[in-house]
Amino acid sequence: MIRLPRAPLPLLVPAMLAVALLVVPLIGLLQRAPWSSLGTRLADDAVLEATRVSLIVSFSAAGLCLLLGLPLAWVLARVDLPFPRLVRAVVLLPMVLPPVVAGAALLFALGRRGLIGQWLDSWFGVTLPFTTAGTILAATFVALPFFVTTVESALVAQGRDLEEAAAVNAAGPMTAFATVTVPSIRGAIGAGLALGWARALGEFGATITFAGSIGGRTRTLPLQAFLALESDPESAVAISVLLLAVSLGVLVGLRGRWLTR
Amino acid sequence: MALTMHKAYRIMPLIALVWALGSCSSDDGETLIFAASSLAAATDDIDAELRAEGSVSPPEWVLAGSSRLIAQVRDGARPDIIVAADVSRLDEILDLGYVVVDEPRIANRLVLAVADGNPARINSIDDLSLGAPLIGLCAPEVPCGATALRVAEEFGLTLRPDTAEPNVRALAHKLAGGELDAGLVYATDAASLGLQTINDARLEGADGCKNPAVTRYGIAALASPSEVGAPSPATTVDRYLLPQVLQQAGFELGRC
Repeated sequence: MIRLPRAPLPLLVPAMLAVALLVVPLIGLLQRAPWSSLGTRLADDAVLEATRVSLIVSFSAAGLCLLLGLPLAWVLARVDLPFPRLVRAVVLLPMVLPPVVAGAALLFALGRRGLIGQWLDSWFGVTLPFTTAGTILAATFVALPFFVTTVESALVAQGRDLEEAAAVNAAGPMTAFATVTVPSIRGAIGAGLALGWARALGEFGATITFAGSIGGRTRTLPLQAFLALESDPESAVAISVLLLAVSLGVLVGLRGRWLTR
Repeated sequence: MALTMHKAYRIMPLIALVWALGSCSSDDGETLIFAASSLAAATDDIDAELRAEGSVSPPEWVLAGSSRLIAQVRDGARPDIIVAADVSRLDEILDLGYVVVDEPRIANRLVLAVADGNPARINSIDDLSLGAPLIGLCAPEVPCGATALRVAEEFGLTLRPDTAEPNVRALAHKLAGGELDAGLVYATDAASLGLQTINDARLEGADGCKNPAVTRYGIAALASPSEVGAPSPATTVDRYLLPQVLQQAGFELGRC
């Protein structure tokens, strides 16, 4: 049993201030929540539809993070890249880019008149804006850095020894990656997935700019909440309470499963 | 003793936070105007005109959806003037020291705007019912979307939008960027962004407010300005909402 030292005041006071900063707005939200009509508001067709879109989009984005982000994290941690700092900064950029600007950037690149989008349109007849695929792309764009940085730092902390030993004993580096590296950092992968998923779930700015807002296709819960603020603020608060509950549930659940060790 | 000290520390940050929030004040004497997003088409020109005249300095504009502006006023914001794209919403703030100002009578009209070059060959508002072109509208929750619904009802259209944008500027910019083929935006947004428009006689009737495409703005101003000898609400509105500039921007004045 480890005994924690008593927290010194210079740490305790700012820590409590930070907690207050995070918690006070949540209390503000909760005390405005229409508790008595919460059920009927959330059972509203538009809200159910937005919930479905949100779940599809956030989990697809988390899946894409795993598919694309895990190899990227490994490359960043293990390969001697030219200009490593620059490459890392580029990976982190979506975190600081205002999401609305990220959405505009996606339009400039993948929109119907965009850099790549115009070819997608004329060659394949594919237009990403205003589709669920576009919404997933926007969510993945903003979520990817959270996943990559989490996994990369775990890989760096772990070092190369284990992997190299495995590569000597077993077959090629790909087998070592799959059988040794991935299982050994599964805690970090879970944490990265949780962070990326949460970011994708809350994503608003890039989505509205790149994918627009249409029920059942691109209108996620945050978009539905934003729209509801125009006509029915209580419904917007109800949706936010739902988002809070879902993300808190998933994050706490994942923490119990993966992050504690 | 140690325990109670700990409890005190727990509350202190909260007190500090409440105090910090309470002492914030943004009152610097500048006139604050809350206006519907569609007013964006005229704010720069009004500012320029006021600077040229030199009588009053340009106001501070806050542009957003009318419902959001009303909600902010209900939550304690105190703009000197509020211009909503929906006259009826002003009723919600009349108990907060605001009075409705009747002049100028500003209206706006929905037009059929298309992407540059009209790639989808849109001819009339009937084409908004087609499935193929990418159609954008405002969400029904905001005034420009409600007006679009009224147009659809009046002329028997089945609108099938590919996106329902949260405000008219977002919609107009997507048309300007060629991401959408067609949409119903205000005449003022089409004018300020140089959008190509398609004439449709049904939207253009000169019958003022009776045409479903026309929507009138509601204006309210603070009834009791704090300073002694302050101008009346009507005078304040008169100083900033310059009719000739609004008309140049494509707003319709006095007809509705």
